[in-house]
Amino acid sequence: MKHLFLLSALLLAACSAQTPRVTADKGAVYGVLTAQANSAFREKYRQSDTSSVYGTEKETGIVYQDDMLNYPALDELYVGLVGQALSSQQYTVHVTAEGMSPRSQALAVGDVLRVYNDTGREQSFFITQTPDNGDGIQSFPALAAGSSANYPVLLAGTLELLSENDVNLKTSLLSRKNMAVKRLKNGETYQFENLNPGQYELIFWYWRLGKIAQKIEVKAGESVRVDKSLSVDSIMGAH
Amino acid sequence: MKTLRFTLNLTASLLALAGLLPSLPVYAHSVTGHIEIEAQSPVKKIIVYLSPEQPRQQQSQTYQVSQKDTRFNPPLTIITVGDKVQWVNDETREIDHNIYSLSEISHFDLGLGPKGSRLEQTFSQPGEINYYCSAHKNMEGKIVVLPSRYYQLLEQAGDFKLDGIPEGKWRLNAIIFHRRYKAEPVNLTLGKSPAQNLTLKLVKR
Repeated sequence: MKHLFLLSALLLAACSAQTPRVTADKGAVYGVLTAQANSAFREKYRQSDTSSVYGTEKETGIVYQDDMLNYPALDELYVGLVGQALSSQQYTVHVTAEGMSPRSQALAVGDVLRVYNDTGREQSFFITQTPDNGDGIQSFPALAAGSSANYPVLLAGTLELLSENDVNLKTSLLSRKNMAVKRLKNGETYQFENLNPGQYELIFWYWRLGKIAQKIEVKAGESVRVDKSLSVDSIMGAH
Repeated sequence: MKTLRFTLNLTASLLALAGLLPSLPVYAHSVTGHIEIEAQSPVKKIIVYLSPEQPRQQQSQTYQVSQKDTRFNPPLTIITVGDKVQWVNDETREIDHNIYSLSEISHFDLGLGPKGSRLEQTFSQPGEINYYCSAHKNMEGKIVVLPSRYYQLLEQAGDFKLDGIPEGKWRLNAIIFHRRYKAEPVNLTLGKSPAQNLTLKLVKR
């Protein structure tokens, strides 16, 4: 039964992916992005009772236990399309004493983070590459409580937005040159339209699972469909 | 009486030998010092460690991590290159856990471990590794793989003391979880001069 709930949700999402309209000299890429637990765990879950240590099956779907990672409710999945020059984009990060929101952000080198400091105290924010990605760092002037500032992101790779004053404040960043970004809920469709023919790279990312990159070729007058499922299995396979 | 005479002779011989060879190598050294960092620094948890100039053979050890109550405990495991970490599913309920890491220096997926299981992974590269359970949101842990067993975990900047270190060339360094700071490593040659009251500076990157 649980299997049917999951399968139907994924099928519904997959069927709802509408083919983008293309002109004779432009192309497009689209698809559905999902994220799920690893396959062994999904199988274990299917074999468990309708109410278990993992969750309870309801008419509206599965209600996961509080300590479970609720994959169907994930809303910070990202698709990046690398290969087209874009104007700078701005993304918002709200910081409270409890943490940063969103927990993750994909963006292009040169994009701007608009950071709101609602922690009730001054914070000195900085952006750094993760330890296994490099030691690059960007630091910013102290930001007073209740104020906001724009931080252009100049580093590339897997990054973190952090505070000098509170190590628990963190947003994971994925930055690439010339990357257009879509943020998706689990099972949503993405589309990149009006693309010049040529080679591109798609990057699918969820901060806790990592990323999968895939090269694609866009042809004039055609749409390319690329569906992707992020899980421990699929990402290990892509490494 | 014979025993007493033998002991005296042996002691005298050893003293004479020590006198003739005053620079006999001492095999275990201590390194002491303190962490220097700007006042009011929020830096917590510093791992001071020594890295040998030449890799040294070390007997591998196994470190256990509990998974009880859907938490990795301890959340931080400090090991040495070649060591093994064993995740013990000691839940009181029939609940499975998955352990995986996507760190560049060691990515692995140990699959599912039911109650009572022990899943293992050996680590061959120094560095920091974050790992997770793909099913439980609070299950996050970190492994720090050091190049040698000579380290001390400090809760905050202060004095350190590393004991039992063989002579040779070493580099004193630190891992700081506060990413705004880095250590300025100090090169040491242990064997002739003592390595006491050293200063290891932590500076802003």
